[in-house]
Parts: sequence; structure tokens; C-alpha cells
Amino acid sequence: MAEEGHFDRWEAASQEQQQAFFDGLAAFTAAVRERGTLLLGEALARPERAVTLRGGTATPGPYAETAEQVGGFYLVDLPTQEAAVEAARLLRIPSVEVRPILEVVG
Amino acid sequence: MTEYVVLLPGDESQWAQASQADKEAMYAVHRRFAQALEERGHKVTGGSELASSREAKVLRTDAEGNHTITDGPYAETVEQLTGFYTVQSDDLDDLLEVCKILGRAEGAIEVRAAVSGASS
Repeated sequence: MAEEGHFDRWEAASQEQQQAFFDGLAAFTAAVRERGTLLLGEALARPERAVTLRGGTATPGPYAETAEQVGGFYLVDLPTQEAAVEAARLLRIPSVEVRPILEVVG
Repeated sequence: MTEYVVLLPGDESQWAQASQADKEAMYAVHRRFAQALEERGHKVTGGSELASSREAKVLRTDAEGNHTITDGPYAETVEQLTGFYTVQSDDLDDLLEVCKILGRAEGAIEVRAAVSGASS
């Protein structure tokens, strides 16, 4: 998840701060690969760049008017949800939601 | 080609109450969506249906690096993320048109570009 102001702070962050964030991602993906499989990972563009469809009408912006927005996600195959939460501790991200998935397509 | 993420938020209580026939109809809409994407030159590169947000755990980390773990989703909203697709496309307008197929089954659909090179 991306907290309020995340995208502004990211763009204003020093190279050192951005590197620390990427180091967190690298530590996370390494931990996942030790115990399972990294299936997919995406970082999303700013929510202002989103388009949301409701009832066939497209409007600019994300679907939720919440301070926290989806900033990116990983799809990982690990033995337990706890293992995924443990790996997520390595991410230098203020909030991370970890949820099982029912089915993978594509 | 740009990678787009198609987020599918929805009211989970409706899905929980849906009959098997309703769920089959929903999955059929998703199959039509996937077929239309392929026919119109978009490429599905991933996607999943998520378990209920009741099964989510949220890990929060403060500025000092202290972690707290809570049950439930990060946002206490009626609409929760129920699934997503990742789609490669060079025509966002047409991608949105195809997403309208899902609009018959999904309350809202958010389409947002992915940022390349930051995922791993």
C-alpha cells in the first residue's frame, strides 16, 4: 500500500532513500525465493493516472477515495500466510496487506 | 506496449451471498473479457482472484521500524479488492472499452499503468 503523500515523497526522496527502498524490495524477493516462488510483481503509477469505470462511465482517478492507495503488489507462492508476512517485514513500506489468492490466471 | 494493472474492487458481501449460478455467470463474463482482450491485440500477463479480505493480514511499520500485524484489510471500506489482471496493451482507450465487458459483472474497475523495472 502507499500511504498519503507516498508518491510525492518518493519523487522528492534522495537517491540514498530510494536505494534503501529498493534494498528492501531485494531483501523481500530474496527471502521469498528462499522458501518459495515469486510469481509476479508490479509497481503502479500514481493514482492520479488511474482511470476508473463505473456503470460503463470512465472517470479519472482511483476507485477508492482513501488516503492509502495501492502502490504496487507482489504475487508469491509460500508455504503459509505467516511466511509471507515474515518476508514482508523486510519491505521498507509503512503498510502491507497480505492475502491468500483463490486462483491464478495468465 | 505498456503494462497496465486492472484492479477489481467489489462488495464482498454480495459475492458471498451469490448463488452458484450467479458465480458461474460471473466467471463466464471474465472468460469473455479474456477472449476479447486476445482478439483485440491486448495480452493478459497475469491475474488472480483474491480470497476474502477477512483473511487479510496487515503489516504496519512505523518510522522506527517497529512492526504491528492486524487482521483484516488495510482499508475499512465496503469495496475491497477482489482480484486483478495485468495486461500489456498499446491502446488504453480500447483496453477500457474491453473492460466495459467486466462492467456488467463488476461494480468498479480501476485501470492504472505499471511502472517498469521497479518490481523486483
